[in-house]
Amino acid sequence: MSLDEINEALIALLKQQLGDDRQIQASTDLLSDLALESVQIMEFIVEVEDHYDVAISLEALGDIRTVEQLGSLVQQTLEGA
Amino acid sequence: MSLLDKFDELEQTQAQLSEGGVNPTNVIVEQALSPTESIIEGRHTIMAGTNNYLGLTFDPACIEAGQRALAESGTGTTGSRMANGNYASHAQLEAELADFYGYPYAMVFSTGYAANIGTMAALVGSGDAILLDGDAHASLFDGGKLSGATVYRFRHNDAESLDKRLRRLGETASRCLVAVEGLYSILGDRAPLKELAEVTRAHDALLFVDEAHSLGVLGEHGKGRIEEEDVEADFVVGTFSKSLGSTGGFCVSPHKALTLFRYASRPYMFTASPCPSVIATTRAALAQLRARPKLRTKLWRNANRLYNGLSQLGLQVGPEPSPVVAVMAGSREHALACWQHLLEAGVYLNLILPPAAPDGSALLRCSVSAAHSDEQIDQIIEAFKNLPP
Repeated sequence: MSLDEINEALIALLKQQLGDDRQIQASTDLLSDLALESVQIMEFIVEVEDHYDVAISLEALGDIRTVEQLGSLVQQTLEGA
Repeated sequence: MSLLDKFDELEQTQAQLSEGGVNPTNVIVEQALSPTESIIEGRHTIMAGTNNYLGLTFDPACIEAGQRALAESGTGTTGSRMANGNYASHAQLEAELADFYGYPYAMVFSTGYAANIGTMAALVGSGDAILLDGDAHASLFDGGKLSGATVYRFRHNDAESLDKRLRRLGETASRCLVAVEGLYSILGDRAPLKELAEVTRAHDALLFVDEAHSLGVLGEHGKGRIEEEDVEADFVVGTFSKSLGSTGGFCVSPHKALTLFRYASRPYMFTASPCPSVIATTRAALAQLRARPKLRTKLWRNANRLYNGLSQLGLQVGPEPSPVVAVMAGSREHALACWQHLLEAGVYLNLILPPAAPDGSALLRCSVSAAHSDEQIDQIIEAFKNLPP
Protein backbone atom coordinates (compact mmCIF):
# COMPACT_ATOMS: atom_id res chain seq x y z
CA MET A 1 0.00 0.00 0.00
CA SER A 2 1.44 3.38 -0.97
CA LEU A 3 2.14 6.08 1.57
CA ASP A 4 -0.26 8.43 -0.24
CA GLU A 5 -3.08 5.90 0.06
CA ILE A 6 -2.39 5.45 3.77
CA ASN A 7 -2.24 9.20 4.34
CA GLU A 8 -5.59 9.65 2.57
CA ALA A 9 -7.16 6.96 4.73
CA LEU A 10 -5.71 8.51 7.89
CA ILE A 11 -7.11 11.91 6.93
CA ALA A 12 -10.55 10.38 6.37
CA LEU A 13 -10.42 8.66 9.76
CA LEU A 14 -9.30 11.85 11.43
CA LYS A 15 -12.08 13.91 9.83
CA GLN A 16 -14.59 11.32 10.95
CA GLN A 17 -13.30 11.52 14.53
CA LEU A 18 -13.22 15.32 14.62
CA GLY A 19 -16.64 15.66 13.04
CA ASP A 20 -15.93 19.11 11.62
CA ASP A 21 -14.69 20.61 8.37
CA ARG A 22 -11.15 21.51 9.35
CA GLN A 23 -8.67 21.25 6.49
CA ILE A 24 -6.31 18.34 7.02
CA GLN A 25 -3.36 17.45 4.83
CA ALA A 26 -0.53 14.96 5.08
CA SER A 27 1.66 17.66 6.59
CA THR A 28 -0.90 18.65 9.22
CA ASP A 29 0.54 18.60 12.73
CA LEU A 30 -1.84 16.83 15.10
CA LEU A 31 -0.74 18.94 18.04
CA SER A 32 0.00 22.42 16.76
CA ASP A 33 -2.39 22.58 13.76
CA LEU A 34 -5.34 20.63 15.13
CA ALA A 35 -4.67 21.30 18.83
CA LEU A 36 -5.61 17.73 19.68
CA GLU A 37 -5.29 16.68 23.30
CA SER A 38 -3.13 13.62 23.89
CA VAL A 39 -6.23 11.58 24.76
CA GLN A 40 -7.78 12.47 21.41
CA ILE A 41 -4.60 11.41 19.63
CA MET A 42 -4.65 8.10 21.48
CA GLU A 43 -8.28 7.54 20.45
CA PHE A 44 -7.26 8.23 16.87
CA ILE A 45 -4.42 5.71 17.09
CA VAL A 46 -6.81 3.03 18.33
CA GLU A 47 -9.03 3.74 15.28
CA VAL A 48 -6.02 3.47 12.99
CA GLU A 49 -4.95 0.18 14.58
CA ASP A 50 -8.39 -1.32 14.03
CA HIS A 51 -8.63 0.03 10.47
CA TYR A 52 -5.38 -1.64 9.45
CA ASP A 53 -5.46 -4.51 11.96
CA VAL A 54 -2.02 -3.60 13.29
CA ALA A 55 -0.57 -2.97 16.74
CA ILE A 56 1.15 0.36 17.29
CA SER A 57 3.05 0.64 20.55
CA LEU A 58 3.26 3.84 22.58
CA GLU A 59 7.02 3.71 22.14
CA ALA A 60 6.73 3.59 18.33
CA LEU A 61 4.53 6.68 18.40
CA GLY A 62 7.45 8.51 20.00
CA ASP A 63 7.88 11.89 18.39
CA ILE A 64 5.25 11.49 15.67
CA ARG A 65 3.53 14.82 15.05
CA THR A 66 2.11 14.82 11.53
CA VAL A 67 -0.32 12.70 9.55
CA GLU A 68 2.42 11.64 7.12
CA GLN A 69 4.77 10.62 9.92
CA LEU A 70 2.01 8.39 11.26
CA GLY A 71 1.40 7.16 7.73
CA SER A 72 5.02 6.10 7.44
CA LEU A 73 4.79 4.25 10.74
CA VAL A 74 1.65 2.44 9.61
CA GLN A 75 3.32 1.52 6.33
CA GLN A 76 6.38 0.14 8.13
CA THR A 77 4.15 -1.80 10.51
CA LEU A 78 2.15 -3.28 7.64
CA GLU A 79 5.32 -4.29 5.83
CA GLY A 80 6.67 -5.90 8.99
CA ALA A 81 3.44 -7.74 9.74
CA MET B 1 17.82 26.55 24.94
CA SER B 2 18.46 25.61 28.52
CA LEU B 3 17.06 22.76 30.55
CA LEU B 4 14.95 25.28 32.39
CA ASP B 5 13.24 26.83 29.35
CA LYS B 6 10.54 24.19 29.22
CA PHE B 7 9.21 25.46 32.52
CA ASP B 8 8.14 28.76 30.90
CA GLU B 9 5.03 27.06 29.52
CA LEU B 10 4.25 25.49 32.87
CA GLU B 11 4.62 28.88 34.53
CA GLN B 12 1.97 30.27 32.17
CA THR B 13 -0.33 27.34 32.94
CA GLN B 14 0.17 27.90 36.64
CA ALA B 15 -0.67 31.59 36.24
CA GLN B 16 -3.86 30.72 34.31
CA LEU B 17 -4.94 28.33 37.05
CA SER B 18 -4.46 31.04 39.65
CA GLU B 19 -6.65 33.55 37.80
CA GLY B 20 -9.79 34.22 39.77
CA GLY B 21 -8.54 33.01 43.12
CA VAL B 22 -7.13 29.79 44.48
CA ASN B 23 -5.06 27.57 42.22
CA PRO B 24 -6.85 24.17 42.29
CA THR B 25 -3.53 22.36 42.09
CA ASN B 26 -2.17 24.16 45.13
CA VAL B 27 -4.99 24.23 47.65
CA ILE B 28 -3.74 24.49 51.20
CA VAL B 29 -5.79 22.62 53.76
CA GLU B 30 -5.21 24.86 56.77
CA GLN B 31 -6.72 22.36 59.16
CA ALA B 32 -8.34 18.99 58.68
CA LEU B 33 -11.24 18.85 61.13
CA SER B 34 -12.77 15.47 60.29
CA PRO B 35 -12.89 13.06 57.33
CA THR B 36 -15.35 15.42 55.63
CA GLU B 37 -14.52 18.92 56.87
CA SER B 38 -11.46 21.16 56.66
CA ILE B 39 -10.54 24.80 56.92
CA ILE B 40 -9.54 26.21 53.51
CA GLU B 41 -9.03 29.94 52.89
CA GLY B 42 -10.20 30.47 56.47
CA ARG B 43 -13.58 28.88 55.75
CA HIS B 44 -15.22 25.67 56.94
CA THR B 45 -15.27 23.54 53.80
CA ILE B 46 -16.99 20.25 53.04
CA MET B 47 -14.40 17.89 51.60
CA ALA B 48 -16.01 16.19 48.60
CA GLY B 49 -12.85 15.19 46.74
CA THR B 50 -10.63 13.20 49.09
CA ASN B 51 -10.96 9.50 48.12
CA ASN B 52 -11.61 8.94 51.84
CA TYR B 53 -14.31 6.42 50.99
CA LEU B 54 -14.80 4.82 54.38
CA GLY B 55 -14.00 7.99 56.35
CA LEU B 56 -11.42 6.22 58.52
CA THR B 57 -8.82 9.00 58.76
CA PHE B 58 -10.12 10.08 62.18
CA ASP B 59 -11.21 6.63 63.36
CA PRO B 60 -10.31 6.32 67.07
CA ALA B 61 -9.00 2.76 66.74
CA CYS B 62 -6.73 3.75 63.83
CA ILE B 63 -5.43 6.82 65.64
CA GLU B 64 -4.73 4.83 68.81
CA ALA B 65 -2.89 2.15 66.84
CA GLY B 66 -0.76 4.80 65.14
CA GLN B 67 0.04 6.58 68.40
CA ARG B 68 1.04 3.33 70.07
CA ALA B 69 3.31 2.37 67.16
CA LEU B 70 4.94 5.81 67.23
CA ALA B 71 5.72 5.44 70.94
CA GLU B 72 6.88 1.82 70.66
CA SER B 73 8.72 1.78 67.32
CA GLY B 74 9.71 5.37 66.58
CA THR B 75 8.98 7.80 63.80
CA GLY B 76 10.47 5.96 60.84
CA THR B 77 12.38 2.91 59.70
CA THR B 78 15.20 4.87 58.01
CA GLY B 79 15.77 2.04 55.58
CA SER B 80 14.55 -0.22 52.82
CA ARG B 81 12.69 -3.47 53.33
CA MET B 82 15.84 -5.06 51.88
CA ALA B 83 17.94 -3.73 54.75
CA ASN B 84 17.08 -2.44 58.22
CA GLY B 85 13.54 -1.31 57.33
CA ASN B 86 11.85 -4.71 57.37
CA TYR B 87 9.78 -4.74 60.56
CA ALA B 88 7.55 -7.47 61.91
CA SER B 89 4.55 -5.20 61.38
CA HIS B 90 5.25 -5.02 57.61
CA ALA B 91 5.16 -8.81 57.43
CA GLN B 92 2.05 -8.92 59.63
CA LEU B 93 0.24 -6.52 57.32
CA GLU B 94 1.25 -8.65 54.34
CA ALA B 95 -0.16 -11.75 56.06
CA GLU B 96 -3.39 -9.89 56.84
CA LEU B 97 -3.77 -8.71 53.25
CA ALA B 98 -3.17 -12.24 51.94
CA ASP B 99 -5.77 -13.56 54.37
CA PHE B 100 -8.27 -10.83 53.41
CA TYR B 101 -8.01 -11.57 49.70
CA GLY B 102 -7.62 -15.32 50.09
CA TYR B 103 -4.46 -15.19 48.00
CA PRO B 104 -1.31 -16.86 49.35
CA TYR B 105 1.18 -14.07 48.65
CA ALA B 106 1.27 -10.37 49.45
CA MET B 107 3.80 -7.59 49.27
CA VAL B 108 3.65 -4.10 50.80
CA PHE B 109 5.09 -1.04 49.04
CA SER B 110 5.72 2.47 50.32
CA THR B 111 3.03 4.08 48.12
CA GLY B 112 0.24 2.98 45.80
CA TYR B 113 2.19 4.47 42.90
CA ALA B 114 5.23 2.38 43.87
CA ALA B 115 3.02 -0.72 44.08
CA ASN B 116 1.86 -0.25 40.50
CA ILE B 117 5.18 0.60 38.92
CA GLY B 118 7.06 -1.82 41.17
CA THR B 119 4.86 -4.78 40.32
CA MET B 120 4.85 -4.07 36.59
CA ALA B 121 8.57 -3.37 36.36
CA ALA B 122 9.41 -6.58 38.21
CA LEU B 123 7.07 -8.72 36.17
CA VAL B 124 7.63 -7.65 32.57
CA GLY B 125 10.65 -6.46 30.66
CA SER B 126 12.21 -6.05 27.26
CA GLY B 127 10.62 -8.43 24.74
CA ASP B 128 7.40 -8.64 26.76
CA ALA B 129 4.22 -6.63 26.19
CA ILE B 130 1.75 -4.71 28.29
CA LEU B 131 -1.80 -3.99 27.19
CA LEU B 132 -3.31 -1.10 29.11
CA ASP B 133 -6.91 0.00 29.25
CA GLY B 134 -7.14 3.37 27.48
CA ASP B 135 -8.32 5.12 30.65
CA ALA B 136 -5.74 3.53 32.94
CA HIS B 137 -4.11 5.65 35.63
CA ALA B 138 -0.82 7.41 34.87
CA SER B 139 1.01 5.09 37.26
CA LEU B 140 0.22 2.14 35.00
CA PHE B 141 1.64 3.96 31.98
CA ASP B 142 4.70 4.86 34.07
CA GLY B 143 5.05 1.26 35.18
CA GLY B 144 4.97 0.19 31.56
CA LYS B 145 7.67 2.67 30.67
CA LEU B 146 9.87 1.66 33.60
CA SER B 147 9.49 -2.03 32.75
CA GLY B 148 11.03 -1.72 29.27
CA ALA B 149 8.21 -3.79 27.77
CA THR B 150 6.37 -2.71 24.63
CA VAL B 151 3.19 -0.94 25.71
CA TYR B 152 -0.10 -0.92 23.78
CA ARG B 153 -3.54 0.42 24.62
CA PHE B 154 -6.96 -1.05 24.07
CA ARG B 155 -10.31 0.72 24.08
CA HIS B 156 -11.57 1.51 27.55
CA ASN B 157 -13.57 -1.36 29.07
CA ASP B 158 -13.80 -3.10 25.68
CA ALA B 159 -13.09 -6.85 25.80
CA GLU B 160 -13.34 -7.14 22.02
CA SER B 161 -10.71 -4.45 21.57
CA LEU B 162 -8.48 -6.31 24.03
CA ASP B 163 -9.05 -9.57 22.17
CA LYS B 164 -8.06 -8.02 18.82
CA ARG B 165 -4.87 -6.60 20.24
CA LEU B 166 -3.84 -9.80 21.98
CA ARG B 167 -4.41 -11.63 18.71
CA ARG B 168 -2.24 -9.12 16.86
CA LEU B 169 0.56 -9.78 19.33
CA GLY B 170 0.78 -13.40 18.15
CA GLU B 171 3.16 -15.48 20.25
CA THR B 172 4.01 -12.44 22.37
CA ALA B 173 0.49 -12.60 23.84
CA SER B 174 1.62 -15.28 26.28
CA ARG B 175 4.23 -12.82 27.57
CA CYS B 176 1.73 -10.00 27.88
CA LEU B 177 0.38 -8.37 31.03
CA VAL B 178 -3.12 -6.96 30.71
CA ALA B 179 -3.52 -4.09 33.17
CA VAL B 180 -6.88 -2.61 34.11
CA GLU B 181 -8.55 -0.88 37.04
CA GLY B 182 -11.49 -2.25 39.00
CA LEU B 183 -13.20 1.12 39.34
CA TYR B 184 -11.96 3.97 37.18
CA SER B 185 -10.86 7.02 39.07
CA ILE B 186 -12.10 9.75 36.77
CA LEU B 187 -15.63 8.73 35.73
CA GLY B 188 -16.32 6.15 38.43
CA ASP B 189 -17.20 3.39 35.97
CA ARG B 190 -16.43 -0.28 36.64
CA ALA B 191 -14.40 -2.67 34.49
CA PRO B 192 -16.22 -5.60 32.84
CA LEU B 193 -13.70 -7.75 34.63
CA LYS B 194 -15.19 -11.16 33.94
CA GLU B 195 -15.10 -10.57 30.18
CA LEU B 196 -11.63 -9.06 30.28
CA ALA B 197 -10.35 -11.98 32.37
CA GLU B 198 -11.81 -14.53 29.95
CA VAL B 199 -10.14 -12.85 26.98
CA THR B 200 -6.86 -12.57 28.87
CA ARG B 201 -6.93 -16.28 29.80
CA ALA B 202 -7.83 -17.29 26.24
CA HIS B 203 -4.55 -15.78 25.06
CA ASP B 204 -2.50 -17.14 28.00
CA ALA B 205 -1.72 -13.62 29.13
CA LEU B 206 -1.73 -12.48 32.78
CA LEU B 207 -4.23 -10.12 34.37
CA PHE B 208 -3.27 -7.21 36.63
CA VAL B 209 -6.08 -5.34 38.38
CA ASP B 210 -5.56 -2.04 40.15
CA GLU B 211 -8.19 -1.85 42.90
CA ALA B 212 -7.07 1.55 44.22
CA HIS B 213 -10.59 3.00 44.09
CA SER B 214 -12.51 -0.23 44.68
CA LEU B 215 -10.90 -1.66 47.83
CA GLY B 216 -13.48 -1.16 50.57
CA VAL B 217 -15.98 0.06 47.97
CA LEU B 218 -17.01 -2.93 45.83
CA GLY B 219 -17.75 -6.56 46.64
CA GLU B 220 -19.57 -8.23 49.50
CA HIS B 221 -16.51 -8.00 51.75
CA GLY B 222 -15.01 -4.90 50.18
CA LYS B 223 -12.26 -6.70 48.28
CA GLY B 224 -13.05 -4.78 45.14
CA ARG B 225 -14.15 -5.50 41.61
CA ILE B 226 -12.51 -8.95 41.60
CA GLU B 227 -14.86 -10.00 44.37
CA GLU B 228 -17.90 -8.39 42.77
CA GLU B 229 -17.21 -10.17 39.48
CA ASP B 230 -15.83 -13.34 41.10
CA VAL B 231 -12.60 -13.14 39.12
CA GLU B 232 -9.19 -14.38 40.19
CA ALA B 233 -6.59 -11.97 38.90
CA ASP B 234 -2.92 -12.82 38.65
CA PHE B 235 -1.93 -9.63 40.42
CA VAL B 236 -4.20 -7.39 42.47
CA VAL B 237 -2.70 -4.06 43.40
CA GLY B 238 -4.11 -1.42 45.69
CA THR B 239 -3.38 1.55 47.85
CA PHE B 240 -3.71 2.34 51.52
CA SER B 241 -4.32 6.01 50.79
CA LYS B 242 -8.00 5.85 49.95
CA SER B 243 -10.36 3.54 51.86
CA LEU B 244 -7.68 2.74 54.44
CA GLY B 245 -6.88 6.39 55.14
CA SER B 246 -3.07 6.18 55.33
CA THR B 247 -0.31 5.85 52.74
CA GLY B 248 1.31 2.87 51.04
CA GLY B 249 0.38 0.19 48.57
CA PHE B 250 0.29 -3.55 48.10
CA CYS B 251 0.15 -6.41 45.64
CA VAL B 252 -1.45 -9.81 46.31
CA SER B 253 -1.17 -12.78 44.00
CA PRO B 254 -1.76 -16.50 43.71
CA HIS B 255 1.70 -16.78 42.12
CA LYS B 256 4.65 -17.66 44.33
CA ALA B 257 6.86 -15.55 42.05
CA LEU B 258 5.54 -12.50 43.91
CA THR B 259 7.81 -13.44 46.83
CA LEU B 260 10.77 -12.95 44.49
CA PHE B 261 9.66 -9.52 43.32
CA ARG B 262 11.50 -8.30 46.41
CA TYR B 263 14.71 -8.90 44.46
CA ALA B 264 13.44 -7.59 41.14
CA SER B 265 11.35 -4.53 41.92
CA ARG B 266 13.44 -1.39 42.12
CA PRO B 267 10.60 0.78 43.47
CA TYR B 268 10.39 -1.72 46.35
CA MET B 269 14.12 -2.06 46.92
CA PHE B 270 15.40 1.47 46.61
CA THR B 271 13.16 3.40 48.93
CA ALA B 272 12.51 3.53 52.65
CA SER B 273 9.81 1.22 53.99
CA PRO B 274 6.57 2.67 55.40
CA CYS B 275 6.77 4.12 58.93
CA PRO B 276 5.61 1.81 61.75
CA SER B 277 2.78 4.21 62.63
CA VAL B 278 1.53 4.16 59.03
CA ILE B 279 1.57 0.37 59.00
CA ALA B 280 -0.25 0.31 62.35
CA THR B 281 -3.03 2.65 61.18
CA THR B 282 -3.33 0.67 57.95
CA ARG B 283 -3.71 -2.62 59.83
CA ALA B 284 -6.31 -1.06 62.12
CA ALA B 285 -8.17 0.36 59.11
CA LEU B 286 -8.14 -2.99 57.33
CA ALA B 287 -9.60 -4.55 60.48
CA GLN B 288 -12.29 -1.83 60.51
CA LEU B 289 -13.05 -2.44 56.83
CA ARG B 290 -13.53 -6.15 57.55
CA ALA B 291 -15.52 -5.71 60.76
CA ARG B 292 -17.85 -2.90 59.69
CA PRO B 293 -19.63 -3.69 56.40
CA LYS B 294 -22.14 -0.98 57.29
CA LEU B 295 -19.50 1.58 56.32
CA ARG B 296 -19.85 0.34 52.75
CA THR B 297 -23.63 0.42 52.96
CA LYS B 298 -23.48 4.04 54.12
CA LEU B 299 -20.95 4.91 51.42
CA TRP B 300 -23.24 3.64 48.68
CA ARG B 301 -26.28 5.35 50.18
CA ASN B 302 -24.34 8.63 50.09
CA ALA B 303 -23.03 7.93 46.59
CA ASN B 304 -26.53 7.34 45.24
CA ARG B 305 -27.86 10.43 47.03
CA LEU B 306 -25.21 12.65 45.46
CA TYR B 307 -25.35 11.04 42.00
CA ASN B 308 -29.15 11.29 41.85
CA GLY B 309 -29.19 14.81 43.28
CA LEU B 310 -26.71 16.10 40.71
CA SER B 311 -28.49 14.25 37.88
CA GLN B 312 -31.78 15.87 38.89
CA LEU B 313 -30.15 19.28 38.54
CA GLY B 314 -29.69 18.45 34.88
CA LEU B 315 -25.94 18.10 35.15
CA GLN B 316 -24.14 15.59 32.95
CA VAL B 317 -22.68 13.08 35.40
CA GLY B 318 -20.61 9.90 35.00
CA PRO B 319 -22.06 6.76 33.40
CA GLU B 320 -23.20 5.01 36.58
CA PRO B 321 -23.76 5.75 40.30
CA SER B 322 -20.48 5.35 42.15
CA PRO B 323 -18.57 6.89 45.06
CA VAL B 324 -16.65 8.70 42.31
CA VAL B 325 -19.13 11.18 40.85
CA ALA B 326 -17.90 13.07 37.81
CA VAL B 327 -19.67 16.17 36.52
CA MET B 328 -18.81 17.19 32.96
CA ALA B 329 -17.80 20.84 32.87
CA GLY B 330 -16.93 21.68 29.25
CA SER B 331 -13.97 23.93 28.62
CA ARG B 332 -11.01 24.34 30.96
CA GLU B 333 -12.03 27.94 31.63
CA HIS B 334 -15.60 27.04 32.51
CA ALA B 335 -14.52 24.14 34.69
CA LEU B 336 -12.08 26.37 36.55
CA ALA B 337 -14.76 29.03 37.13
CA CYS B 338 -17.15 26.35 38.45
CA TRP B 339 -14.46 24.94 40.72
CA GLN B 340 -13.74 28.41 42.15
CA HIS B 341 -17.45 28.99 42.66
CA LEU B 342 -17.84 25.70 44.55
CA LEU B 343 -14.84 26.40 46.77
CA GLU B 344 -16.23 29.81 47.66
CA ALA B 345 -19.54 28.09 48.43
CA GLY B 346 -17.68 25.86 50.90
CA VAL B 347 -17.25 22.70 48.85
CA TYR B 348 -13.88 21.27 47.87
CA LEU B 349 -13.69 18.76 45.04
CA ASN B 350 -11.21 17.86 42.30
CA LEU B 351 -10.79 19.74 39.04
CA ILE B 352 -9.78 17.31 36.30
CA LEU B 353 -8.31 18.87 33.18
CA PRO B 354 -7.24 17.23 29.92
CA PRO B 355 -5.29 15.02 29.39
CA ALA B 356 -6.43 13.47 32.68
CA ALA B 357 -10.08 13.61 31.60
CA PRO B 358 -10.92 10.77 29.18
CA ASP B 359 -12.77 12.60 26.39
CA GLY B 360 -10.61 15.68 26.24
CA SER B 361 -13.03 17.91 28.13
CA ALA B 362 -12.70 19.12 31.71
CA LEU B 363 -14.70 17.78 34.60
CA LEU B 364 -15.39 18.24 38.29
CA ARG B 365 -14.87 15.09 40.32
CA CYS B 366 -16.52 14.43 43.64
CA SER B 367 -15.64 11.49 45.83
CA VAL B 368 -18.13 10.46 48.46
CA SER B 369 -17.34 9.23 51.95
CA ALA B 370 -19.26 6.99 54.34
CA ALA B 371 -18.58 9.77 56.84
CA HIS B 372 -20.61 12.37 54.92
CA SER B 373 -23.91 13.22 56.56
CA ASP B 374 -27.12 13.58 54.57
CA GLU B 375 -26.94 17.32 55.28
CA GLN B 376 -23.43 17.54 53.82
CA ILE B 377 -24.46 15.67 50.68
CA ASP B 378 -27.40 18.05 50.29
CA GLN B 379 -25.12 21.06 50.79
CA ILE B 380 -22.86 19.77 48.03
CA ILE B 381 -25.86 19.42 45.69
CA GLU B 382 -27.08 22.89 46.69
CA ALA B 383 -23.69 24.40 45.83
CA PHE B 384 -23.97 22.97 42.31
CA LYS B 385 -27.29 24.74 41.71
CA ASN B 386 -25.78 28.11 40.87
CA LEU B 387 -22.76 27.25 38.77
CA PRO B 388 -21.49 30.01 36.45
CA PRO B 389 -23.07 29.83 32.96
